[in-house]
Amino acid sequence: MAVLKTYRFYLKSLIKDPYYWFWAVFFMLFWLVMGAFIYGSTMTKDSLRRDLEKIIPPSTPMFESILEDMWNKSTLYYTGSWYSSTALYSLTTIAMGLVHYIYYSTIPIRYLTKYSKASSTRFYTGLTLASLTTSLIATGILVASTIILYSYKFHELNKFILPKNPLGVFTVTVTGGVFMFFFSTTLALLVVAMRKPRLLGMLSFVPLMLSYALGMYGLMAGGGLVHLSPFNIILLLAFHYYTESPISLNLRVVDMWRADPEVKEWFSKDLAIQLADPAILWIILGFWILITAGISLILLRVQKGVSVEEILS
Amino acid sequence: MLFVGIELVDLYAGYRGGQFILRGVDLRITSNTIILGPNGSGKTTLLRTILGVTVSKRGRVLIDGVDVDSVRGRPGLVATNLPEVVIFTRLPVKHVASYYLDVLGGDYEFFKDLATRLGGVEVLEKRFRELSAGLKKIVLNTLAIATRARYILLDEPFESLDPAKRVAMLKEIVRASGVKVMDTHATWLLRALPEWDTYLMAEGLVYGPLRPRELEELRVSKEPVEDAVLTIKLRTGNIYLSKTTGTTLSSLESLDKLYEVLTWQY
Repeated sequence: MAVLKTYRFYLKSLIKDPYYWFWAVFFMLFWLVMGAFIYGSTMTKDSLRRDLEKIIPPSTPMFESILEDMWNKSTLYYTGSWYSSTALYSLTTIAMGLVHYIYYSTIPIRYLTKYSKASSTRFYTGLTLASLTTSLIATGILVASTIILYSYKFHELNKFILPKNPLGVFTVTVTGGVFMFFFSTTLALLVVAMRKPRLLGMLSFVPLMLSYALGMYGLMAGGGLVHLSPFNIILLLAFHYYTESPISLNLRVVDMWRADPEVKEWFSKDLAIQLADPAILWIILGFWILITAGISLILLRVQKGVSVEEILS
Repeated sequence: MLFVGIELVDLYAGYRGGQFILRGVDLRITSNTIILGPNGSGKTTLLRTILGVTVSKRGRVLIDGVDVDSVRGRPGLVATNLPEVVIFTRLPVKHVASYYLDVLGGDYEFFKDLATRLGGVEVLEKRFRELSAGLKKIVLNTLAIATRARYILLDEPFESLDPAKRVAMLKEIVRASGVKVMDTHATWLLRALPEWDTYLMAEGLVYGPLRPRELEELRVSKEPVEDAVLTIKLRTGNIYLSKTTGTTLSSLESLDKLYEVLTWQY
């Protein structure tokens, strides 16, 4: 019962937080709009036709059908890449808020775990579930907005660009939320364990800095080992489940469409593509979750709290 | 857990850098208690240490015979009006109080009734940070009382309250169940609490107990007095409380004046 009460309390608290709505939802919607109507303004069926004509003569039978198929695929991949990156940044923004929540809750948690029915495990379970629920609400809004905005932009709502594997998108969001929770807890407890409250401001930005730096690098600059960071794995898996595209570790996300077997034949014949099994990425993400959960549990035992004077100053 | 009281044994406590604010406190609390002392004497630190939320500590705090560091999952044992135990949130007071009293095993209806009686209906709808200092104090005092805990620690419960609210709050505190431990620097309430154990606190040390009437009759002097009842050791020199020599404590508006009197008059 204490878990449920704590869950409901924190859920209400997070839902009524304007910071959450502005940064995790509206700011991400702004980027989705930018992706659809500003960055995607040059992406038209005619431009694709011109590109395709360089490879396949227009007189080829089924040219229009191939074009239609390519158009559907490219819009799906484009939409998937925008969804996956905004979902990652939204989760990260929630994580940033959580660092503050957890830090400022260290004394109330000590008080409540001593003199209430809520043990620290129950307390953190309630908080984890509340943060996961808010992550799901945010990504639910982002998925719906992505479908509507990009379907309108590219198909005038005659066809909806739906995620190919909604359950996969849901699962990666929840798992990404779990990782972000433990990562935030680790950062907040690090501040408490080191008793350096002034580091709070800087450390709370770490999730955002890492996800923007690593996410953008994986998205726009290149693949490689950077794809194995937890932030990039969340991005890659979200992209994979939205598009059902194979995952390649040596391609940047915006080029991941080249790994599609049907497209590869036309556009990437000579390209050496190193494919990765999503199961491997899940294992690595699970490993990251275990590491951060382990560290946060150790820190939880080690920390004696930041003194009230230091917190209030 | 048997009712044994709160026991502090050779207690040192502080916040950072090993500088202790409490400097070897020995105290046993088994009934309603007032801790009187000027600002900065360590009263709030004493309550925080009893609660178990002070970082640096040496010595022991036992609550009903159990070390405070080992206390876990004991709703109804200790409650407090210290603001730092309230979770940082944007939710209105009613949601916070409802959650706290739910998990602490308190009575929300009692809280609602008392908080609205003393603070007005709107107090429940506001967030903590939106409350004035006086209303914040009313809410925190009421939250502590409504837990109906065995030990209720009240830090300056009358600070920022207007005179009428002070009297009303004092009545509620007296009426509340459990052992109340109240720190304050106000002396006006001594007459209303004749049965309470009273301790004086200065520079991290606790002196007493005395009964309020006894304390009221005492006189304060910086000069050594032969029949001193208490000798308060300050860094600047000792202060002697006796029945014969010096200024009566009850004539001072606040114990803070004690320092002014000692500095300028003597």
